[in-house]
Amino acid sequence: MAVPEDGWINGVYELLTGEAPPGGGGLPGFAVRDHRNGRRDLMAVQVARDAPARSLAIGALSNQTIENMILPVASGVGVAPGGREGFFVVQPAAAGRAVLDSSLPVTPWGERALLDNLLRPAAIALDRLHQAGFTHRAIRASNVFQPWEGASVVLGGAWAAPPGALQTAVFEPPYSAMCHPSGRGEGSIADDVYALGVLLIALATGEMPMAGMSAEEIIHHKLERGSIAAVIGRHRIASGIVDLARGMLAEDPDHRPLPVLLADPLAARSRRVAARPPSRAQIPIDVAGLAVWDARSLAFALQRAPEIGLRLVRGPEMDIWLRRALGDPVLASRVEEAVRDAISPQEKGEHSVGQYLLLHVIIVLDRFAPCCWRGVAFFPDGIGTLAAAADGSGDRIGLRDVIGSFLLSDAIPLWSDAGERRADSAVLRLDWRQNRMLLQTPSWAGGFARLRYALNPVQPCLSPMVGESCVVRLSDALPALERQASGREWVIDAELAGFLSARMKGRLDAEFSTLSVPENREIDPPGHRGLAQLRILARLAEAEPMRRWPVLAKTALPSVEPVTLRWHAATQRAQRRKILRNAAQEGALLLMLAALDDPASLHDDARRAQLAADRVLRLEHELSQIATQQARRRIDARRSAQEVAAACGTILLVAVVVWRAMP
Amino acid sequence: MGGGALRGIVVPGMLLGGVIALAVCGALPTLSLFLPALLMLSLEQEPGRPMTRTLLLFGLVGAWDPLAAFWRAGGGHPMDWMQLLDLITLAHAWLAQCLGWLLAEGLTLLLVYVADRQAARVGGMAQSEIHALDAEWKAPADDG
Repeated sequence: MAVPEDGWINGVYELLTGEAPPGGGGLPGFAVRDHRNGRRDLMAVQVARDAPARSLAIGALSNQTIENMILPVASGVGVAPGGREGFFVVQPAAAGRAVLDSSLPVTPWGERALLDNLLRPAAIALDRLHQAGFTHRAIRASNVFQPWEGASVVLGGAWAAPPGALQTAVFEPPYSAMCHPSGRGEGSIADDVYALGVLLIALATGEMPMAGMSAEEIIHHKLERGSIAAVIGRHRIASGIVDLARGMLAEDPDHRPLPVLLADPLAARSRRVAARPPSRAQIPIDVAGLAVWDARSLAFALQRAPEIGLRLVRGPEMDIWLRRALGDPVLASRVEEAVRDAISPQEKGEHSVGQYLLLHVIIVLDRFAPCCWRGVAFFPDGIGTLAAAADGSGDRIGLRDVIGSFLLSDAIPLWSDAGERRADSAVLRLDWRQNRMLLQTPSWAGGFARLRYALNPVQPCLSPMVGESCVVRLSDALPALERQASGREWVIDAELAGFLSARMKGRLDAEFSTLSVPENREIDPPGHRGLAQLRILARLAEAEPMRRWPVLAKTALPSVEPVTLRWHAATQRAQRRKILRNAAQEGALLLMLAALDDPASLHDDARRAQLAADRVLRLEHELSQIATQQARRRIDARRSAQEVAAACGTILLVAVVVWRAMP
Repeated sequence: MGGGALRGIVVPGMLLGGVIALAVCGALPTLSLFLPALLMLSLEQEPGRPMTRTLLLFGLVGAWDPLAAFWRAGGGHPMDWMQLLDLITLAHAWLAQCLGWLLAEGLTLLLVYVADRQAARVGGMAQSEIHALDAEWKAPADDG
């Protein structure tokens, strides 16, 4: 999927300059023209480099239709009107305007409008999506559109960013909202139901709930008071809507109604949620400036200030508060047990032990809590998108180290075994082992870069070796390298190696391992690293075997020329060097590799070299024999001569005797 | 019995046979005919005395007629002895032995020359093959 020369996405969709149509969901959007049929009601949403698009959903939902939901049409690399390459998701442009636009006055929706125009169509659309195996995770006021007043709403696109990444805290359940935007994970359809419930309240009141509050305050309020109370606040809403919203905003995802149930609001309303309000302490405990009154809020406070939280966990203060102020000795005992268990594995290192202990205590305090590690919260199924955000423009935490130490610890088994987990524990453990193995691989065939791209199939390569080019698929890599390769003998760095090895699915891992260590001339065969690099480049060139890559070929030539020295025969070396130079001149990477990567010829050459060495030994032995046997030769010659002379004498004597005897 | 031992009794046997055949009285002139061979016999150290043998054979060829005449005459008359000691006869016998020696030595030189040339040719071929193999299979570092 290389960038077409005209810059169109997939060679079909032309990005147009001018005002962007609505529906970008907060990401840059462009009007698009489909050159096959002239269709103009499409838009392209530009994907951020450190927040990859949802490739699985795009693949499965492209060209599908779900009424009242904007689905992706296509995705690919294109050139934005500004001239910069990017990865875009093409989708229909939203009609009308967002249901709650902060710049315009909004009249509260009536109950009937809420049920007929919002809840029912959105629930039906979510049910279809749920049946397809996906979540939306982008239901918020600015991403739900109403084509005209009185029409059913349309859920905006949710495919150009990780699940929930662009959601504001108010539209997310508190446990998801406290997560890093890139680490919220795929979630479940219950999270969409929650967001729909918040939107229901927002439109019923005509105001954005919890407006003016920071994300931290929103989460704290929701945890402390319960989501429904926090979102409704002081507003008065019709009791039918409140009943519906109470179920939709239940803290336990399993208690929220499924979309199929919401499609029948009367049935959904009659469903009662048995939720017990959290126990409230008599006096608060202060954790890093946050006054905490209950266990869930305490877990959140420990997560947001891990250093202070760790001191608190290790000290007696928290235990006393849990027992006396909160009046929950069972919880206090469980926390005490968690502290005792977590301290024992000293071999993990003090820092990891501390994080492990904190995580253990947090999930004891709140069974719905996400993974919390070094102050970063995330769900394990969002670790891929979290890895994508590492080293990105918004990464001020050092996500690479956070993810690294998290995967190397036993945090995932601990988290998946405790509390109410929304993902299958066996799958989580399997993924964790695979990810940890990749991370621990001590070469460019593994490591963080490989992990990042393996978990994010459409994340563009972040290596400086590809410059500003948007390299998403394998076929994008070589053109980008060709543009940037001038003057560089080595064009593959660790980041690019991680990208390529992930996209090649481990097919050239040996080559990437070779590239990751400096060449040792005493051990390695000549041109060891150069040949590994050429093999990788040639594999990339196989996609377009007739295309020439002159810059890459010329820059790679010095590193691979020593490979010819592997042949013992001078004629072979000269012949292959000539072929190699000609191929480099032409830019034919495949021919270059063919000239060098010939194990059968090398084997034959080694065999012939051995035969030649044996022959030289035999000839030298023969020469030494000739030199040493001169005296022997003379003796033999003399003996032979004397025998011949004697024979001549005998013949002459017989001849004389016979001649004289003749009459 | 080996060939060397056999040769070791052939020459003395021929000499002894000749002496017995010509009788003691003819021995002295006969031996004078074969004086070069006798001289060679005393000088030659080689087992089987191959050069002495050659000289005796060639001496017999050169002095066959006088010896045959001496044999037929019975060898009892002094004239017969004188005929054997005739200068011409003596010269023929000695010249024949000299030719035998020359032939043996010449052949020796020739065969040594041929053997040396053959060895040189084989050595040259081996050397050139070594050079060719070295050129083809020389160390890669020597490449230009």
